[in-house]
Amino acid sequence: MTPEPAPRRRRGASGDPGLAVRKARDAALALPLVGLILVMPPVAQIFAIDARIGGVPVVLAYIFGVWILLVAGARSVGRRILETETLADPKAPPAEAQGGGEAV
Amino acid sequence: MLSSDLLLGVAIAYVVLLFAVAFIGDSRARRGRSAWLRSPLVYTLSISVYCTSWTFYGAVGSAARSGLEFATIYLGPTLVFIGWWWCLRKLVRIGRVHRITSIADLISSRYGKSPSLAVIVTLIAIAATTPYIALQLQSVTLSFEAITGTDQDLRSAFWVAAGMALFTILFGTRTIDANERHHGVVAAIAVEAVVKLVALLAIGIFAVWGLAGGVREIFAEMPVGLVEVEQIFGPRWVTLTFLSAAAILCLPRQFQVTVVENADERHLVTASWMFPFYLFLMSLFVIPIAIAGLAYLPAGSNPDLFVLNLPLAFGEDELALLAFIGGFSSATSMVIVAAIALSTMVSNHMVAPFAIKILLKGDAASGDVRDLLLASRRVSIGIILGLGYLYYELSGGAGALAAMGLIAFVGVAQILPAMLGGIFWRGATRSGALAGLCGGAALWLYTLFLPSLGTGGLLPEAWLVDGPSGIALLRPQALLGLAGADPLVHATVWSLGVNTVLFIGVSALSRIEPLDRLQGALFIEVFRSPEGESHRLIRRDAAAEDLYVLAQRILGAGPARALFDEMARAQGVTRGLPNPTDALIARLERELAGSIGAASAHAMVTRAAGGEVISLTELMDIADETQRLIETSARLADKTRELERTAAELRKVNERLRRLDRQKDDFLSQVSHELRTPMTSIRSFAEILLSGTRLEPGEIRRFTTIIHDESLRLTRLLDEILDISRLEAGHAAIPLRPVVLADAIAGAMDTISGLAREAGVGISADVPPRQLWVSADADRLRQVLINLLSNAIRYNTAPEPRIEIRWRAEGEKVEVDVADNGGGVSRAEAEDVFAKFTRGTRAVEGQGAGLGLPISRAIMRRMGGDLSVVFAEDGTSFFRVTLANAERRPVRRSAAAE
Repeated sequence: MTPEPAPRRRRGASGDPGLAVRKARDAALALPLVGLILVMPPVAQIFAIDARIGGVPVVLAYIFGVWILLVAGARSVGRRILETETLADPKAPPAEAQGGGEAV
Repeated sequence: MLSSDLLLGVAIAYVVLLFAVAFIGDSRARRGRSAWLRSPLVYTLSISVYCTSWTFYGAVGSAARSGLEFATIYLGPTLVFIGWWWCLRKLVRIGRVHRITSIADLISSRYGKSPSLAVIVTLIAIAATTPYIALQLQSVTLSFEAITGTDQDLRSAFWVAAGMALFTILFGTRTIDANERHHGVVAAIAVEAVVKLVALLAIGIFAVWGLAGGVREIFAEMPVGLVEVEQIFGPRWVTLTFLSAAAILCLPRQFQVTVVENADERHLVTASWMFPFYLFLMSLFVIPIAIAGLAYLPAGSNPDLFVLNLPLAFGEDELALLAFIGGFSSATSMVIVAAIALSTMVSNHMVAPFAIKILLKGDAASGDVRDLLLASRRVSIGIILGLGYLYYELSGGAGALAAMGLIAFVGVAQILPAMLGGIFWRGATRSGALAGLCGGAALWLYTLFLPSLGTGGLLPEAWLVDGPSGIALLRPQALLGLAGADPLVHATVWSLGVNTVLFIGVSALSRIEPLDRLQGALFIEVFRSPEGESHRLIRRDAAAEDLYVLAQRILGAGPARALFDEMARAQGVTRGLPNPTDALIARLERELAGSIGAASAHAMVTRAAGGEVISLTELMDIADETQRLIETSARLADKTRELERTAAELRKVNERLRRLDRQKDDFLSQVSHELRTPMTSIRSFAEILLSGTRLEPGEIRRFTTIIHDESLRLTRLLDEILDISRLEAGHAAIPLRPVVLADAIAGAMDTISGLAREAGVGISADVPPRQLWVSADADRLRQVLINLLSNAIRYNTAPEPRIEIRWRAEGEKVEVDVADNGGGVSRAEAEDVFAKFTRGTRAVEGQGAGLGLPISRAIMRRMGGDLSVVFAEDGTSFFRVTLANAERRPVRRSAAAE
């Protein structure tokens, strides 16, 4: 018997909703780390050379190239998060517990 | 040159436009038509208040002085936003759940709703923001002077400050509930974000294609050493990226637009890429503009005004005007949002505590705290802008724009350890946060802020050069002899280092206050704890009337009425005030916190509710328990899901059991029916014989024969029933041996030959070679074949009945088909014939019990084979017995070969 998929979650391409959610989350966590490594020394130092590409200094092209790629990456990660994750709708009234008089 | 009157006119027209946008935004929101104001695009654009005139003018100035370094100021926020899942997501959720009104409120609320922490953070924020506001005033004044070529000096700066104060007061302080969005302001900020982006892009395009004639050409003009490849990724690069990342989280105005004004958490997902993209576009032309300024403007021009002077120098007055408006936009949006954020902090954390004292001293009916707080907010906006103006006048507009902005960054970064520790580290305590903030702020003042005022400032020159009283170890820019480092890196490392060490060290050593611990658990586990959890942990007592009066004073009569009505409805109370339960008190405290901050709200509610009646030790236990509760509830949720799955499985099994039970009942009733028929005839004939009536000897013989035959049929039936039940229950083990298939077929045909001759049925068999062995029990296999043959004989109604036996060996399988020309079974009844006591439509009533086929199938399956109905292409059907080949070398042959 196959376990029923968790409600409110769209099935991912792999067919396992939990996996799709985890992968989207992992991507969201990993992207800034990748960005950090790319724009920080020593990796960025590799591209700090006195050369030009199409007239533009290589280091300039590198930083702006990484930048726009990070933007594109964040966009696709955001879409996957929206597809898999249920972010709270703040317009919904706060869940107020009823009869909260009982002690713990 | 443009005339100063024209410029003033344009600036005033632009401000009027902003007022109009804000007014329309506000009035539409009030009429509930604010969908576009709640869009992710507007949210993202409002976050771009990060790009102040420091960006608009200063980035180019910074690029002209130190090349690519300017990009760090935008790479830090880029990394924070694409990493929103780490930190921003949690901040936004905490802000919403705990109705956080400002960054000071966040820190204070996390650390046991501490009023002193809120005051310290507010002071740090004001100290860091004042030079920042001065910077905006300076840039507007400078740009004014640059365009008109006149010396407007302080007069224009004053009017700029006054105009911004008016705007902020009008649209930023309509209500004291910080969680009620400032729609008008946000709309105006969004418009300004577009204006400044368009302006900077226009100047960039003008510089690259208008002046230089292309990308290659502009970079050909690049002075040697502008992009220093050797030193670019040094300590300053790392420090500046870190500081800007800290600033996007800690700047009061960024906290205001990102967390407090957030209407929907999903907007953060859009902003996570769109805001970095905005920063990318803003930065794209900075270096080209700097190159153009260095190449085409006379030497000695102020790099901070390249954006403005480039179009002016080439007679592009309209473009210069656009640049001026862009810079003006950047300045005004920053000042407005910063003033709102700071005035909220001042009124909630510095004025509200006094207001509470006044309120509690006076008699219950007097005064509305709300008016007092709104007034205090308006006054503090004036004071904050006044401070900025004062700083500007005192410093005389000294220093480059970028340097002033960075001082502010290091200042607000002091909040970072307490903030991150507060939302990720359970061990963080109020004392730790207090020690870290104070230590860090003091070092920031000493190593960066005071020296930045210059030698004519508050520090005597001797201090800077030789240290206080000549103690060289205490020199502000070379503390403990740490000389040689960049002053900014030096100040950052010292202040944040000491800040973090104090925060962690004191937290580890100090005792965690109960409320501190409780709030810590609620903040850190904000995604797992249900909202309003805290009310279960603190027990308080209050009269509903007192709470109502309190709510009226702070929220206003209308909103208080609505809130209490709603809470009464939730409790099921139809008339009057709701019962003052712990849940209600907690909810009220949260609502009040949205207006006056957590610390003040807590103080007020505690006074009205007569303090927590719960003992401290008990609260301590409960606070410990919160964590366990939260974890338990998460585990419980998992368990529940698992239980639901198990229940679903059980339901299915139960359903199957019920179906089997029904089948068993059907079987029993059919068995009784089948047994009844022969029994009835046996009994009636026996009765006739017993009755003593004279009977012919022939008759007696006939009756006895019938009784005998019926007894035999009964016995056979019982044997069959026993057989099938044994087979189905799996008790009858059928030993498998290699069997010569030809022998089994021949045996079955021998047995059935009499019956076949009687019925006139011709049987033709394709006898397999004797080498073909199958894995079976010889008797059982013969039983199956006999059963199939006898069925084919008995139910064959064709005029010339014929039966054909075919065989086929395919791999591991051997198939024996029994076909007749009697019409076969229809597709609909193909499976039914294998059910017990069912006969095909060809069957004549009274012939057999209908157990033959089910028994045969059970036998075949027990022997690892199968019995099935196969439909040929011409629509006829036949029975197929499938067996396992027992030979090592399978005999290959297809039916078509012979």
